[in-house]
Amino acid sequence: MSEAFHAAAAYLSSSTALSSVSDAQKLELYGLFKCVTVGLNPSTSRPSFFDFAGRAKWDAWQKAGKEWSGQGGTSGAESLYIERAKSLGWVESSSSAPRSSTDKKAAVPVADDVDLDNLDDSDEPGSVGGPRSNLGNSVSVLAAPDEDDEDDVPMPELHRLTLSAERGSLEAYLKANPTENLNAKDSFGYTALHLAADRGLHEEALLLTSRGADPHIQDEDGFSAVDLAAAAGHERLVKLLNGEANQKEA
Amino acid sequence: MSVQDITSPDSQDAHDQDNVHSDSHSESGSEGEAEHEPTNGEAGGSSLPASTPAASSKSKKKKKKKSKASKALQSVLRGGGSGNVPQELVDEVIQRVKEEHADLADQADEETVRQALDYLKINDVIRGKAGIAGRGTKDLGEHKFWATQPVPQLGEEPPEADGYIEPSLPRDQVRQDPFPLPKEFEWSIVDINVPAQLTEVYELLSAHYVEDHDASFRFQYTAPFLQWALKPPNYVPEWHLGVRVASNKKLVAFISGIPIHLNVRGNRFTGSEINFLCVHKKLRSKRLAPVLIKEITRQCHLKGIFQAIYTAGVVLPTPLSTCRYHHRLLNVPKLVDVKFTSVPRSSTVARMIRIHKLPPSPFLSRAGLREIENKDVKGVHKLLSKYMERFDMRQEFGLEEVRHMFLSGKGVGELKDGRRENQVLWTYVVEDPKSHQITDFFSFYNLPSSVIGNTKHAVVDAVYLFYYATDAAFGQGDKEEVEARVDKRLTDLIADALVVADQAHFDVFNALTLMDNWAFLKELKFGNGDGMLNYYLYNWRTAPLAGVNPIGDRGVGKGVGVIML
Repeated sequence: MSEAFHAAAAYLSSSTALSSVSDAQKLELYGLFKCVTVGLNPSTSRPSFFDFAGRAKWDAWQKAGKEWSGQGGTSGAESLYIERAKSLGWVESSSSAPRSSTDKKAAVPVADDVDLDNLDDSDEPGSVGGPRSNLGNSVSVLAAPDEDDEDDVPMPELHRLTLSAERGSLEAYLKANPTENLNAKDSFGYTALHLAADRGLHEEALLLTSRGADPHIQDEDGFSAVDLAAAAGHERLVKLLNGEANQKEA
Repeated sequence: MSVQDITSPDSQDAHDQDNVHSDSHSESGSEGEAEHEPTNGEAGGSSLPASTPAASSKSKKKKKKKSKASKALQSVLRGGGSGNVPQELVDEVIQRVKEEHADLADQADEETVRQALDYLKINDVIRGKAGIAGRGTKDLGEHKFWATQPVPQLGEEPPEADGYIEPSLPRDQVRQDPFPLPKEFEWSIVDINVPAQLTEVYELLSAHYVEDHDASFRFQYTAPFLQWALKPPNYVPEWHLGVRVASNKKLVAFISGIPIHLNVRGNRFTGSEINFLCVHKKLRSKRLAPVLIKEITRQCHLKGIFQAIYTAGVVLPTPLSTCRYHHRLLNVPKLVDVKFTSVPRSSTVARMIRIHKLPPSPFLSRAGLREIENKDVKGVHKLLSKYMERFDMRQEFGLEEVRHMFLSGKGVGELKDGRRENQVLWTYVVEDPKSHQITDFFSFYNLPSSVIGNTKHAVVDAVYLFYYATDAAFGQGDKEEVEARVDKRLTDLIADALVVADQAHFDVFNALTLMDNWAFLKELKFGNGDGMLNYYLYNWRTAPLAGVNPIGDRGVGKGVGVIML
């Protein structure tokens, strides 16, 4: 966590900048904040259906965590948070005083600024206009499964940290808990190495094997960590794991 | 288009000719297929009924409930001040929770519901100051543009009688001049028979068309697809409408219409199927979309067409039906890689691959399943026409339309790995080996989405279920027997569609909750999508149609027999 992050957070919590911001944006900021300050996964279970506020916040946190796991981790979330704060009037290095409203307006693209002779097709993040409002077909992806049931059994810390893919957190945990059983299975029968291999988490997989996690253990489908990496198409990881496996046998 | 764009107030609306009554005798712009002759050239007015908007005392249970909800809404709207959630709304919510979410009923006490509604700032949502979680919902109160259009307004009761909202006009009373554009732009009829112009449309859509809510995927229509989609028999060149920058002629916006024969609860009329409305991303504050809609409407009026059908992912005034996307994974590792789907904690990619594995050849091959040929067009036409009678709103097809839709998209050359060059549509028929009748058919079209900002995978190569039919719907037996037979046969048939798509190396197979799809979606391992598709009719009133939810005795999907591209 950088000083800039703290300053940005202080600005956002004290200034009036947030008053003009939509709930969706506030939730995004909340999700990023929690990712940076706590971790990429919510530490509690999902609030009940009628706790709208709590549930929305929890979802925002989990969504941000999913987005940033594997692509920049907490530091990525942190820089986006700082970027968002800037767009809401926060100025790095200087005070936490909000900029005047005229300054803020200047940051909003004005239609007349468009250079009609040099229109490009770039995908700018946050470009003007809603992207999905066209008349026509609508783009859809598979909806996230309702994970309420899965939350009944909390994930073991080792598995949780492996999946969170936060730089350094798994390593720190392993150092602090040298006697941890690295081959322990979660309630679905997966070792932490299974999960790392399946999701293509190279660093975590190497960290676990280098500390003695067994790559031959089979999951309930009879797959080893190497099998899972191969099935998911993580070829480099397969080579790495095979290398590790051979070394151990030698 | 942006919210501001389509909802902008506009001094010059399309109502210049309001309240002009007259018999329509305008020129016909659409085809003269025999079975549609009665509606040709008189798409509205003279032969079609006018709708009666308000609900009457015919008080079915459903209507009563609806009217209670709408009263509650009305009282919110009139309520003026912020904060207080009206008692009627609270009561209505508690009632609905009890009916629809029995498991949650004990949590739905009055105070909780009141707090929840208050938190949601439901008053703001209703007044349109806020969307619901910013997703799939447009700001309801900002529909100033749509308020000027002949569409049912939000909160309206279902009509007492189906019919048009505004009568059709004779051609000389249709506005003769194009609607004005901001001075730096000009209208342009895009001639998609000119390859360079088709490319312009293709490039505009590729960079600026519909994206998902995360802006991770965007439809990537291809040139052969647009050729096929925009040029059905008797297409109207003027309905391929573009906007160019006046100075450099760059194409920056587009909207299209194609003629479509509709049957909505027994009323048959020719309308325009509006699609591909797209405005350059950088110009979404220019309010071009409302002008595009008004100009294409004028172009339709000039051809004697006064009704239209269109779809959108967002909620506009007022959806006739809402369908939900479902997705059947084919290429699991890739779909996980591009985050089209995630791996649940309880599973692995390897397990998901095993669950979704398909056989190497179609099950119905021995029963006579094969690719469509020209000689099958008559049989398919007959089968499809009869089959579509199962749905409340349906497309009606002429013989040449069937030939175009199901045959002309098959590409050129030999099948290679399941595909031909420029193939956009796959149609398979089942020919009974003894009678040589076409007993079943299915079709799906290919519409890839580009994966925005992914270096490893450029596109998700998706196919979408298109029309299908089976004669299992026609035989002997009571309703239950027939429906069970249809369900079984469709499950086998669409299972084979999955195999064909898998053999052609597509990544995912998509389908909506329309027609009879509900019969096989779960069985064939389609999962819920996060996208909805709303169906709209322009200048036509009818009660809501069963889509993602059943309505009365009409099951899921049975209201909707129109598939858009």
